[in-house]
Amino acid sequence: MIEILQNYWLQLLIGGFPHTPLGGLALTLILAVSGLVLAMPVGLLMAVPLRSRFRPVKALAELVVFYIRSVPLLLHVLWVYFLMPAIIGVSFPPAITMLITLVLFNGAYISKIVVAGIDALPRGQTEAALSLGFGRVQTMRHIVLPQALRNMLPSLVSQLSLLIKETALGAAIGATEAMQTFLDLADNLPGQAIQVYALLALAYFALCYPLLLVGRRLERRGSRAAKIATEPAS
Amino acid sequence: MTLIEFLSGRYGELLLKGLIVTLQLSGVTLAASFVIGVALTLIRLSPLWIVQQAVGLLVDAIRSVPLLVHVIFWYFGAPELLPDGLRMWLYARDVNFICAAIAISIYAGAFISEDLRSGLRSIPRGQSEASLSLGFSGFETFRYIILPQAFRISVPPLLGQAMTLTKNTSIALMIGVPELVYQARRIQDITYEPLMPYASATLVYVVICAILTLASRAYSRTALAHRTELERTPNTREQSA
Repeated sequence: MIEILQNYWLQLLIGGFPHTPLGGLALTLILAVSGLVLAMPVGLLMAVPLRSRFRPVKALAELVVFYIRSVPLLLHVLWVYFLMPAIIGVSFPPAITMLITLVLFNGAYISKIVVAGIDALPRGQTEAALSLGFGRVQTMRHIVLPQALRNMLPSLVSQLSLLIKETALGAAIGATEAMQTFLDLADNLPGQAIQVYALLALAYFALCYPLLLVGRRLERRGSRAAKIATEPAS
Repeated sequence: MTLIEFLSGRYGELLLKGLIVTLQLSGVTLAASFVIGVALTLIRLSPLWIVQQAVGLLVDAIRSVPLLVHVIFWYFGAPELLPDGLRMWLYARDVNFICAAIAISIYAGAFISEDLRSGLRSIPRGQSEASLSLGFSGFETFRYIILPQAFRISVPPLLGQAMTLTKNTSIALMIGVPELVYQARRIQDITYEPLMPYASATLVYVVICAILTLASRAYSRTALAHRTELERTPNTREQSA
């Protein structure tokens, strides 16, 4: 395993770059980070109609989010890869296709997290802000969202670790992220395939496990803070 | 060509075959992953600190690696490690299906064990204290007091896992298991037309998830309605891909 690392570390890290587009673990990281950065605002935007008081809007938003969540990510990837070009006439390289899919898919999940986070906040917060003369948007922006976001943090962290794992599906459409790069290497080293897979698993473990721990820690701290907040002063 | 015409022909038949494989794979892995999840949870209840930590790390490690990597490992990697006789036996059978089922079961089992564990942990300490002071033994307390309540709390997240698991079986297409999405791709390769096959496959998943979502809601309404203090279901962890 060490030997494979010594010989192929650069290829595993950045793929065939600069002769081919950037690939390998670097592309996985870029996809995951830019995926989350873009999925956050998308999730927030999708949460707006989900909390609308206008029934048809809310129902439509629920339907869209349900649709996105009930179809396998792999199928979404294939939709975007094969049908987007047919519909809008522009075809994207696999990595961009993957990014678009990840952003929409995770946006739907994040919107649910956002709604849950806002609903979990005591109504008194909104009422107090409104009675102090804040407008609806101001209340949301300055009172509700900052507090809700803090409650959502554990869920958002675990969403990021899901996102990192989801980038592996790029291999299905030939995006040369870590999965594809390692698979190609395994093809070239027939006797050592198992070791390459072990390295691949280790790479994902190294990326996701720390996030798992951070998420768990945040969750524990959050539940302690919530307990303190709800316990009556004695 | 309308969707009805498309589905009533040869391609409908292929998709139906794919659906059957998807349902088989989901059924088998759901049962197996539940058994694995329960087993992992029980082992984690061991009083030995080192056992708890080891199983905890194993569960975390399984959850940290994408399902696709699990599937590839069990299909391309693991058979190489088997003794010749066993490998021949495996290859004489539906090796793709078996390896996919093993990989998905282990992956989902790790998530299920987390759900079961947070279900167990959400039972207030007072429950077991009261039961012990009433003269129940440690095992009886677990069997009659803790487990029934923990199980009831765990049902909605478990239905969520069933949904995720069904979606995740689509990843088996990467090792050539002829499930629903595989058949959709195959039809696309034949007709050069992606819309109909993908739309049909998508529709099937939406229907499956709608059924499971309704079941989960019905359960929460009836079974949990009168248990207000336990209504807070534990945080579910999606398996995703």
